[in-house]
Amino acid sequence: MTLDPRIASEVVDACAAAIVLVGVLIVATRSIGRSIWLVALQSVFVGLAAVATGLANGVGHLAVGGVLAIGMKGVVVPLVLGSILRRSAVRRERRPLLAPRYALVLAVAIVFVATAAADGVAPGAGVASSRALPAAIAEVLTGLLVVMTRRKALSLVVGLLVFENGIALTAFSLTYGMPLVVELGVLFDVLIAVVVAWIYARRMLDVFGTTSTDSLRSLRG
Amino acid sequence: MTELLVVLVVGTPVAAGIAAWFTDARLCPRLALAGLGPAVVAGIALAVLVFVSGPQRAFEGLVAVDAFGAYALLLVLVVATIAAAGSPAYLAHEAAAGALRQRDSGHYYALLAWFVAGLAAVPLVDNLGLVWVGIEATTIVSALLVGFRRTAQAIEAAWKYLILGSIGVGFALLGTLLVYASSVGVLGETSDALAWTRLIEVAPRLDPSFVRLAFVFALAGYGTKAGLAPFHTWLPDAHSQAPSPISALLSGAALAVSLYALARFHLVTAGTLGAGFSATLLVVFGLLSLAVALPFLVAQGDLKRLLAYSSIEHVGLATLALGFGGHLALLGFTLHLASHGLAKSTVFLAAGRLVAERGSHRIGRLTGSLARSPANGRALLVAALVLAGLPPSGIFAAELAILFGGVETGWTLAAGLAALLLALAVAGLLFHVVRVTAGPAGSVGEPGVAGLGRGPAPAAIAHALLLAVPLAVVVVAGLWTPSPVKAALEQVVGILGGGGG
Repeated sequence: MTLDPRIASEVVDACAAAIVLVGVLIVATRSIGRSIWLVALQSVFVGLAAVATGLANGVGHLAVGGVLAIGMKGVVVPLVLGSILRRSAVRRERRPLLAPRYALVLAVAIVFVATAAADGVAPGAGVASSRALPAAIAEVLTGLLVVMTRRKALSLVVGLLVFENGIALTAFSLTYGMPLVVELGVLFDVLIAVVVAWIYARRMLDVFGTTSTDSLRSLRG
Repeated sequence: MTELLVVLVVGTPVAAGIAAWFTDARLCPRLALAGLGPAVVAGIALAVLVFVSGPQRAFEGLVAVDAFGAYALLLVLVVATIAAAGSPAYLAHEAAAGALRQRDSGHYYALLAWFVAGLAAVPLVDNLGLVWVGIEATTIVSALLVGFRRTAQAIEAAWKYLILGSIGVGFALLGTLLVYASSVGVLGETSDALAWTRLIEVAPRLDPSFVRLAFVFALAGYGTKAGLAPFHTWLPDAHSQAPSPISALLSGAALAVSLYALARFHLVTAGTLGAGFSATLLVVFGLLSLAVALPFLVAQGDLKRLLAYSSIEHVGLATLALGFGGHLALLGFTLHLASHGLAKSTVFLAAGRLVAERGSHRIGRLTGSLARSPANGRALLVAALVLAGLPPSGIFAAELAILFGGVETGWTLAAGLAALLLALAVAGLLFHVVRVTAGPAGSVGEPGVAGLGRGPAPAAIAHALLLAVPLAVVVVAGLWTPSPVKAALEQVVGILGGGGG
């Protein structure tokens, strides 16, 4: 099964645009439930872009990795996160370290900076899209922004996933992804990391009665 | 042969872990031993094979062990043995304090076995991508161990470790990707393009701009895992809140494995760009770690945090040695890695017992340890003298070699600064440890837990031996190195780029 490279290139461009847009929406929302589904949607776009690139260039393992990523990060991970959200009383980022309206300005600035930064880097020969690398850099930075400005445990996990999406997108905007054995390992690690985060979020609920990381302030010096 | 040994080293702990997860408290220590025992024996056999008959390859090139890998593997397995041997007493204490749930000890041994399997796998694989997978896997498993006690503080430490560790390791993944991007044109789209044995061969032909960026990301990523300042903030929390045998593994083995990964990146980068770029970064971050750890060593009120900051100091020193390069400094690096691993894992076990007897981490509450609990008190004191770098010990010899090596390779100013920072750190570390050890015994803390450090006679003797043997090895290493060991160290130094000395 192959795909016309021109169509693939357009698919990847569209996915890159969607990924950046979803990243901005994640920064904009205070609802944790919405951010979980947004990051799942973003992961699906990343996976689609991988599948399109893989099919267009006959790189089978990239397409396989993309399909697996859609299943794992688009379906399994949000279900795991959703289940902890349902037990928790915390549904919204009430007092983030930086209000979304300011964070939004930063998120847009990040998109510009990423576009400028990616300008100088020549993508690997034959890689379908020139839009993917700026989007990748933007999502790595957006993920860091979310992790640094939010306080709730689940929001931090969402930030980590945005960061991971950025790295995954970097992987096939520079090259055709990584060897399959590495990609499988990475996906597996991400899944286990989310499960462990889920375990700790539950323990936080038991011990502190909340999943707000505000209560995590006793270790100093 | 090599295949079988590799399967034993990594496979048996994984399998034993799975078995321990599902069994009850009485069986699981034996299961864990049943998994770790063969792994340790096979690991030693594999290392000897490598040192005697050269690098080994297996599984179609996926596994490649050279002298440096074998050395790291040995260190991991020795520290794992110390940690596993200290675990039954730790769990017995937790059980006596009523802090264990029914399945907790099974889970503890399972996670311990998986942690060791992950640490042991990293120096075996010939693929920077799989090195990353292994290190991330150890982060996740050990995060569960850090929060094992389920107290508010342990959960806080584990959470910070998980989030900061994942972000840090994410940067390392970016670094790995960039290496792949730099080499895919040279080596083609196979897993060869991430094999460090191949990367070092073709290093001069890699794309330099990608490699430069890759090293920066790898330094941030594996530097986070190794506890290099300014990425170290999770370390004192995790190492102090984890169960003490786990602290021993984290400080003694996990840091060394992260340094191993960093060293591989350094070797590839130096091959592409010349030694200057990555060496300078290593020296800068090494010195920064020494400087950042110092105030926390001097003004510290918590015994386990004191030891954790000492780990940051020593990781800084090791990084500095890698940056200095040259035969002498690299010999120091090699000797330091093992000496620190042994001394730090032992001291965490001793400190863990003292803390358990007293029910507090606070230095002010722990005074009089020598009188109250002679074996642990003595071990703590000796280990602190060793860790402070006083002669005679492997760490003293290593520090001298590193500093003189730095002068030799032209890093005079950096070596001088490091010497000053190390000397100041001695004062901080020893001041607090002397406070803990000296003084009258005082009353023993919780009644039900009292005397656990002494216990029945055979267990007490075993515990004293567990503390004394590794420390004795470190002390003797400063005076006398048997010639096979010397030859092995020289092989490691040769791989790290200090050959011919």
